[in-house]
Amino acid sequence: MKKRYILLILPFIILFFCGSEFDYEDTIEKQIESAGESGFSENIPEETKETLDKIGISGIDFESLSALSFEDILILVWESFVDQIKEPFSAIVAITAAGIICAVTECFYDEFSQSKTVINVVSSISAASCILMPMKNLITYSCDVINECSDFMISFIPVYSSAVTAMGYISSATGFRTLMLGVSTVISRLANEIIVPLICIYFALCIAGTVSDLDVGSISKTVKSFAVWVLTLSMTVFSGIMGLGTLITSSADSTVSKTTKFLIGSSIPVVGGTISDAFATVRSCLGVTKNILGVYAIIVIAVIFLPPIISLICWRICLSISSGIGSVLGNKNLSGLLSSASCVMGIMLGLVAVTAVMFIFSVTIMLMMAGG
Amino acid sequence: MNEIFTVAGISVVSAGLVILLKQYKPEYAFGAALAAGIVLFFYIVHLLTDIFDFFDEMISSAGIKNAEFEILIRCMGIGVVAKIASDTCKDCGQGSIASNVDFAAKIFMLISAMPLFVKILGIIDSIINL
Repeated sequence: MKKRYILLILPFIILFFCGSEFDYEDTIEKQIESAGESGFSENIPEETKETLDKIGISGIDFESLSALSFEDILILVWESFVDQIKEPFSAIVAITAAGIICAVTECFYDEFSQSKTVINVVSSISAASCILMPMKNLITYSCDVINECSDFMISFIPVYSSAVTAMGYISSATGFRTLMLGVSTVISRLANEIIVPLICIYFALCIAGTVSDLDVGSISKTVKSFAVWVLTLSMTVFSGIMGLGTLITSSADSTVSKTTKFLIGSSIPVVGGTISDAFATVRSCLGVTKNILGVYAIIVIAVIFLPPIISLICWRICLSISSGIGSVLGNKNLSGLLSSASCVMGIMLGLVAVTAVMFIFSVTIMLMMAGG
Repeated sequence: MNEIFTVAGISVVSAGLVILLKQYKPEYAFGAALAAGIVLFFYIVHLLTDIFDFFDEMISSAGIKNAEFEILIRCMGIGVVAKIASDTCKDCGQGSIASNVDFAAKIFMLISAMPLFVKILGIIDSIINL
């Protein structure tokens, strides 16, 4: 009889001690630390860390992540916008000034005067000199941001996949790690070695077309369409592989996980159900850890890409406006150059946005598929 | 707006004077036309300073370096002077000299804009080598 009583009471005693020892937040913190968050935290750019501090995310913890409000994000976007708009706005003024000076000068010449053409070219070049340097710096900055984010992802993927593996989603984690490590490297190389050089060639041809009478329109259009084609193809291939691969591995992992839970519950006598529940609790904790890591990574990626995206948008808007002003002033060279510059900013914006979306999309898919 | 009446007055009076001189003292007609042209030019340039001041204000308020715009304004000046000289030569029936003035103006404009071209080429080079 005594043995029966002991066996009946034992699970409650175990549960009592487990309950008193079990600190939910502490466990998650320990799990995050043991997952190796310090490793990928070091790879977050300083500028991004400062921005994260500004919106109240000083570390990877549930409280600061859940405290993040929509208002904070709006303020961050607005501040970034105000900060970034100054330079393109100055460029609009400079371009307008160049356009007006050119228009005033053209008044002195008759329609077919060749001096008029020279003045036209010089004014276009003066306007171009105001925008080329900042544009070049912005292209370099965008490339650096893609590389920085790629480095961050390369350090984050092992940590995240280890959290997913610990949850029992071994196939998903392996697939995710392999695919994302490949994608992070490929994106960085694709941007630096194919798309950005193509954009630069396109832009250089457009500037040459402005100065000379050479018709570079068709060549520059080909270069541009090739850059856009590479971007679209890489995005389509990536989303296809990521989506399909995760669907298959996720269902396989889900079956393994359910089987493990069933085996624990049914094969271990007396306390099997309790251990099975404990297993589910630990998995839930790991799920929270994985979700915190994933959400943190998504926020970091968004904050890394926010300044170049806003800057590119500001430049694109201002260049389109300036191109319109050029058309109004009747300066075809200037208008053409500015519309090409706007197009360059558009492709660059596409590249940066596609990279950001690829990274965020992949982490989100893993968040949704591996346990939700 | 009163300035246009002054310009119109000077122009009409000098035109009448040149016609009269052509009849009685043709050797002074060219000198009179040139003098009228120079007076008008300086009067108009004086008015242009207001426009240049406006550009200066515009550029400095945008926080842009003036170097590129100085080149543009220099080119504009070269163009204006060359245009007046060329038109005067044409009035005198010296078409070939007028063409040479136009050609010289283009050359001087390109020489003035050379630093700008060098700068742009440097930027293009750095863009291609990104």
